[in-house]
Amino acid sequence: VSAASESALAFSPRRVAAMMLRYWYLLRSSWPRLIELIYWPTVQMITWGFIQYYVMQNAGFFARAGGTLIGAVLLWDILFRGQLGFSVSFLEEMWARNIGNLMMSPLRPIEFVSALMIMSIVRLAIGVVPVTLLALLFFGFNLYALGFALVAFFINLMLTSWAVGIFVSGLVLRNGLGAENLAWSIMFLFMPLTCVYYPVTTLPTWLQPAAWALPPTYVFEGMRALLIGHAFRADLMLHALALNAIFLAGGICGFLLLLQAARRHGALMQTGE
Amino acid sequence: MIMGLLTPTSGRVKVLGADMPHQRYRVLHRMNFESPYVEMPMRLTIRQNLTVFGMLYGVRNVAKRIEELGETLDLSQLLDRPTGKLSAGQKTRVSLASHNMSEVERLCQRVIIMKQGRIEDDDTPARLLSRYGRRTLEEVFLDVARGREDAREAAQ
Repeated sequence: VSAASESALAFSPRRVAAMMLRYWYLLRSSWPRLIELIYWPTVQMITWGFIQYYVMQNAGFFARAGGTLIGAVLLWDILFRGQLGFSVSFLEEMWARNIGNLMMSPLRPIEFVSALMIMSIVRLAIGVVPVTLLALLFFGFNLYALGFALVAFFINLMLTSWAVGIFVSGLVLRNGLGAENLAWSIMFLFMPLTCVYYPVTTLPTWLQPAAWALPPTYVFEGMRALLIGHAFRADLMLHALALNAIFLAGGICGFLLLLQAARRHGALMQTGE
Repeated sequence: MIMGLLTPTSGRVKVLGADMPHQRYRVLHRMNFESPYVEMPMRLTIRQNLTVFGMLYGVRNVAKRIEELGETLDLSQLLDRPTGKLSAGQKTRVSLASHNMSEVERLCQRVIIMKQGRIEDDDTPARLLSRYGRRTLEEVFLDVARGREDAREAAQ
């Protein structure tokens, strides 16, 4: 095996950069895609901001729990948009029928996934950062005032979003664009169980263990503990991190198994519906 | 199967000594595939597509190489046009490893012609032309595709 062959076997930051460049070109080439990144987070934040404003005027508890609804909306958007940012970059390859070209190029699955992860952060930054500034301007809610806690929340939510994004991409790879809707809807399956807008104790007792099996539940509970009780719960973040390690390992294994199955069934050559 | 996109149900495919698809990353940087059924992403310009794939394949001085290729294949005027806006003829020219036989004749040192999964012939372009008594590789390809083995026998 030549030296060139050996170097092709190693993880290549240049190939990751090539894929990021491709997605950057795609984003740049379409202003509607850029607008779409910021549109829904803005609409959601404004709607929930006004709801919070209304209940603060009418309920003593919410007056004390300032920012929990807007905080929940913004953190939910990090989770949802993180996964969507990952999945949409992947779907761009399916829509362009480019998966075959990529899979017969020297690009390794881990390099492909790395590029998708980085692009999910880029897309998230484009969509959510302006919205956090609007939340500060309109409702006086400063997400960045959460400081280190925000970093812990962000890392845990991104890890979950990647785990789900990787697994869904594997499903689309194996089953074609017929499974595309999963990319848009799967995170909403998590919404009631991860207790975005209410404490876990609101759920029936028998359902609470299922909620505690999901990493984002710890983040949303942690956010309420911080905003209502003014206490940073490091224990919750560590639990979330441990669960995320399991979720991420599961997502990557699932993706690789589904990729293998796609190779066996010829799905990489027929990436339509 | 040759490119590692499909796992064989039985048998083995070896390319440049590597077992496909298990050892594909040892050789994929030295291979490519072109067919009228495979297209480059439509929304990127030709230059952008070539830059991305050049980087994926480890091409050095990608920008310079694209300029050179643009001149060689008479594509310089088209480099900044979205790939999806090209005519069918222009797309064919854009394909670097073209299926255009005259380019195969000009660029390749070795040509393998396959039919129904089996290698029908394997030689240099000049020897293939001589063996089939033809003036172009298109004619040789058609002889093989249409099963006109007599062309080769008559020429020999």
